[in-house]
Amino acid sequence: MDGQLRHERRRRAAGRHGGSRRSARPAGMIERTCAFGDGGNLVGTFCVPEEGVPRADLGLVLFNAGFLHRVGPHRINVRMARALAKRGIASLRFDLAGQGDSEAPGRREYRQGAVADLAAAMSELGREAGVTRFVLFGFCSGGFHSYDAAQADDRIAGILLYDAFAYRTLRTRLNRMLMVVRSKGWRGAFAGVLAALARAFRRGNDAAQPPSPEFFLSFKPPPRREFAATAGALLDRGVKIGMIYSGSFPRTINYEEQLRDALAGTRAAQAISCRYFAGADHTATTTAMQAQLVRYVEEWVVELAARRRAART
Amino acid sequence: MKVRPMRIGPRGRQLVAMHHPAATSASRRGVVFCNPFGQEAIRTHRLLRVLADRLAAAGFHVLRFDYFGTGDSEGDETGATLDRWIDDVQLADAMLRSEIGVNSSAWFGARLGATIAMLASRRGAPPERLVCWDPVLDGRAYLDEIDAAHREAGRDLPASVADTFGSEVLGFCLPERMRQAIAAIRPSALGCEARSVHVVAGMGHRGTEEWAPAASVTTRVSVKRIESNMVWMANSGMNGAVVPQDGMAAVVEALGLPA
Repeated sequence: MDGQLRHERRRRAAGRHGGSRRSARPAGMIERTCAFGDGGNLVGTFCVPEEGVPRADLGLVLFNAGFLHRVGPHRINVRMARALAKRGIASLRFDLAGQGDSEAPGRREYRQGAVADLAAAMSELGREAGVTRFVLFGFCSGGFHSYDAAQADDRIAGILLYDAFAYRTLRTRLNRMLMVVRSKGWRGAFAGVLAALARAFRRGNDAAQPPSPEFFLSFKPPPRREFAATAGALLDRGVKIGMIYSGSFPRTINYEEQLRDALAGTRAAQAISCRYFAGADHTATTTAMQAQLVRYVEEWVVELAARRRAART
Repeated sequence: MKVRPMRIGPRGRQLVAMHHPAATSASRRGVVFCNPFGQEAIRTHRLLRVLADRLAAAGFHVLRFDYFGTGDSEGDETGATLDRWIDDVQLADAMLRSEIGVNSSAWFGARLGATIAMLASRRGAPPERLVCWDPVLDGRAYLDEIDAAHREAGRDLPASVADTFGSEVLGFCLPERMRQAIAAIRPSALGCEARSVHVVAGMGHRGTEEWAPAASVTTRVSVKRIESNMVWMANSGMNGAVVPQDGMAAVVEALGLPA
């Protein structure tokens, strides 16, 4: 099927536009908002590179962070989509069923439903932009949905997860203690150690720690051994996995090599790329933080596209 | 009925809009929703979606839209001006009438969206009715409030946030010309041309008592106080939707009152 946006790109390239020269000035991308999916229950906006911009066979899927709609925290999904379009990467930012402008689903299990919606989004983006492989950017709760989807769908070439899976190490705890000493002194640090010991006694050491009480509480990360195994299986399949962390949860994640150390001895330890933005908060509240995050995602996705292109030649 | 996504306006400045079709297909009544600014629009997206669904079920065609440079629409906020957003309201109303067939429209706005609706009513074809939830009646007071919210959020953020005071508010640029235009909003100078204006005001909302008498010289004004004190500007929103029922009920009631 010829996607509407591909037709539009060819029409623009041929110069057969009805608008003024000013409105025909290329912006590097074309956007279209529509309903799609089962019965047209999902709403999203495609963002496709204009003709003349070299395109990759890789599409980016962006979706809800927690309860926020498809534009993302502080509109970051829109910024990201447009930046990637200028680099030849088409995208779809959409609302999962029951969120944003998408219709509520019928009775279905929440996490399986999200995986189904992501599958529908990839199919639709594939039709619109002619791409066959996809990257999912999962923000917060979206990180867990992306991880679930990657295990279920061979079309996923990469997942990039923001403030999702984290596992503490001894260095995490020492770093945290130093932070507390700097801010509250030794007495405050000692009280913190007692509280942490009490928490550890209650929960057990092998269980992964949810990043913070503010996180989507229905998403408890699996134990680290299980995560290492499932991540390893994805890596064996050729899926690129990346983790990005903000500085909002120092109790749970506070240095860049943390996941590598936590999964030491496993394939995942070396193969998962990690980036820790200590100076950024969970929702990238300043435009500088947003620009930093967009740049990182842009380079990560473009590098994957280049790697895939090289592998085919 | 399902929401119908649309893109309205000329290429290069297209706005994304959502049409909620009226439950009664013969209905010719419509409502244009005018969003608040920045992070307030992000926080209220769910509220406005639920309200639109409720109004559609009650027989109104509802058109929600994102101003130029906001939400899913073209452009970014550096290119946004208050004048442009006023034009966007007129565009949305024209779309509601010409494409959807509405012949009686009301405009609903929350916070700065309500103020934009008031200003838009004086430019071009006014609506029959304006419904305003916690409208911004004093621009300087509003700027003080949102700047304070930005500073409050910045207390938990790195020191670099201090560099953004004045130019950003909770993740969104506030260009200087926009800031100046908002600062110029004064109760004494804020008239509107709708046949009637209905204000829904939370307990913490200020300025209505000063504004209403002057506005009532040219239009019929009603004010309804509600118990909820909506926290419009805050950096949170990911972990739950804010949908105050008394405010929504007051808006629905205001739209159903005789013009």
